Amino acid sequence: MADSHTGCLCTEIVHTHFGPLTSKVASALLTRGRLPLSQLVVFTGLKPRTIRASLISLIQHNVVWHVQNAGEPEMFEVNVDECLMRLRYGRYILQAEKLFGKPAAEIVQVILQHGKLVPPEMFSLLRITDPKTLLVYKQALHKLVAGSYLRASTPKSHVSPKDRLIQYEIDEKKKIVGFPTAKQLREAKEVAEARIKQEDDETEKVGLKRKAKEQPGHRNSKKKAVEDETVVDDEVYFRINCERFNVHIRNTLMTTAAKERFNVQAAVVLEAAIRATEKAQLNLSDARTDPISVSNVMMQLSDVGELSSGLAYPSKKVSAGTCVKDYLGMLSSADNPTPAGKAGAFISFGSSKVQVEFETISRRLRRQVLEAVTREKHGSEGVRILRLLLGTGKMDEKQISKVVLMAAKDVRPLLAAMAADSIISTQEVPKSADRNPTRTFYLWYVDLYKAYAAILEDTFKTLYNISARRRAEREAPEVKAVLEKSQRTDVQQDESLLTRIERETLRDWEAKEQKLTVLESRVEELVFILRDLAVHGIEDLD
Amino acid sequence: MSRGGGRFGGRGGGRGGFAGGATQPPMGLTFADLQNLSREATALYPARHLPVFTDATEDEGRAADLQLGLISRLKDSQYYIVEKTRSNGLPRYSDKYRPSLTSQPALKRKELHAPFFPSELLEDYFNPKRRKKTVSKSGKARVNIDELLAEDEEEKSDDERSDAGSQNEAEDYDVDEEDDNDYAGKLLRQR
Repeated sequence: MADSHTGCLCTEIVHTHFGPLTSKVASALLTRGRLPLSQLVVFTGLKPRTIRASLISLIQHNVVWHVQNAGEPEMFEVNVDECLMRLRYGRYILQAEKLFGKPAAEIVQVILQHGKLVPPEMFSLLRITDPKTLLVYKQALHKLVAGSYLRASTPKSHVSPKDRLIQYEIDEKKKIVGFPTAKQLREAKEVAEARIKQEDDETEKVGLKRKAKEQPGHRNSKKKAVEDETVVDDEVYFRINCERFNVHIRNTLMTTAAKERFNVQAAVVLEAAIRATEKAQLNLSDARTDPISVSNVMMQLSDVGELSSGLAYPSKKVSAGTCVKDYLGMLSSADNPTPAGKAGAFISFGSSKVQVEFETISRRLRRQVLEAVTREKHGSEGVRILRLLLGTGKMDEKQISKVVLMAAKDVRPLLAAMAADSIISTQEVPKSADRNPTRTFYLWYVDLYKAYAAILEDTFKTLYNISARRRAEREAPEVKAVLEKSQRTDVQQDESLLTRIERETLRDWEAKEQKLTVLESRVEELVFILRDLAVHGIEDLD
Repeated sequence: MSRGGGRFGGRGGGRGGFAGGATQPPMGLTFADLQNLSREATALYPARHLPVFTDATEDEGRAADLQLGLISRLKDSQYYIVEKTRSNGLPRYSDKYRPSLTSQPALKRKELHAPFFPSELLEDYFNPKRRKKTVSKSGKARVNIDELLAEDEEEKSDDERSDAGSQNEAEDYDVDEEDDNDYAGKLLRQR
């Protein structure tokens, strides 16, 4: 179940990808929570056969979980996170191409198209016949699986994690003899959570298996040791591991932030530092990278000569090592060792070990989003008030107008407007026992959870609007007619059957569609910053 | 408007200045202000500064193209669910070139891995004419509870030797002597 804006957005996504009938099924599941098939028939008003087809399609693409517990029929539930990730699929394919080349990109593309596939099916869908290209694709697949970009899909991954937790808790509680105490219930819950984690860890290892044949003896030679490698299991169904690709999106965001804060060369140094530990960054929940040595960073840098152009040195010749150390010092705010400086740093540089601080940077990016939204809606005065309240906590209206250097008559409507947008909230402190409004203090403060949630809601609405606009433009009469005509098989083979005006309409429509999709991906980055990077928690460390 | 203002002014003046506060125009305006208000229609929305869309970088353009390609391929795939409708337009020459209603691929059983799906779902979709063997279980469960209760009562009466309760068992459900809310009392009495 999801709140209304997320639900609308997910319905719209399903509509674009799977059609209007499937979107009705998804909408019923999103507004009413888990449902069995019989109730879906009632709420959607569709034929049962259509509903079954939609559910099969959505389960195949991992958008819907299903579970059968004792005493109830098969229940279906929408996986909201997976639905929202579908907006990023284009970026994932591009990332795969950048990392491993075109064969990997094609493999990722075909998997995204079908939800999950076994390797032989992948190769047959890509129509690979001759053995040389097959070998190339097999190597690409191996790299993807070894780097955890693809993960195995098991029957357990089709059950919602909450359902699994509840089921395991029930199993543990059954083992308790007599009347359960609070401690035993807590232990049951912990054991259930540990069991889920263990099963998830095991699934991660599925997918690669050791080669069957082994070299007899010959432990000494190094060549034989290299041959004892893993091979992709041909019977496992693979699906995309969105977390791993999200890590790359996060890294790009951070290097862009460094570029905006300092200069291009500093961004290059940060990128090198991140790349040094990229293999170990498996999901977004790491607060910082493992410690990296400076020499490791320098190894990742390809073009060290360019770096010195980013800094101004008194002497002309500077060694590369000094250059890199200076950049690292800049990135770690070494000149400002106060808490404010630490909050503005990108890395922590201590005892010649570098650690990229993901948590700090995520927090700063979120704060920048909040300030940008406030600036758009309430101008620079609003940002002044926001920064004051973020820095000092709760304040009275009179104090705010004094500190912010604005007249009270200006501050009052601004505070009201910002509170209407959920950016700031009030804390009532009553002077008397009855909550008489004339006799209470109203302290204004920034409730970060509420502010970020309100902005996220607006972002979901925006994404929905963009998708609806794209659909409306597609259904405009001229465009619709031209698109239908271009679907004809004779026109697809011969472009000249379209008139000049029709071709122009088609080109305009394609340009519009691309603009809207680019806009959608830019807004989606906001969702990434507010939602996915908030794994570490939202509150500031003050 | 001016007549209305005059009438208001007359009434207000009749009552002596600002005594009749309810008839004063709102928001601190005076009658002179109301008269001087412009009669033209105001704009429906205030003027806005719309942000300018910067051109897509190469990467963004490529990612957008890949996304749109994926969506269009999904549209023609078996995962885009459509229902066959009867078109009542006249048959045309170009119909043979248009993608017909049957050209949308259908879901194939061999492409779907059975352990990932609920077995009933797959069976009912790909094998719609199979005979349903299972009777609804929920009905049975309901019946069981009543029988269980009856059994329980009899067992308890044997074990605990509270004959008084078991003999009145059949009557308790018919007789409405106590409140419906008094379930706890009922249970205690039955035991």
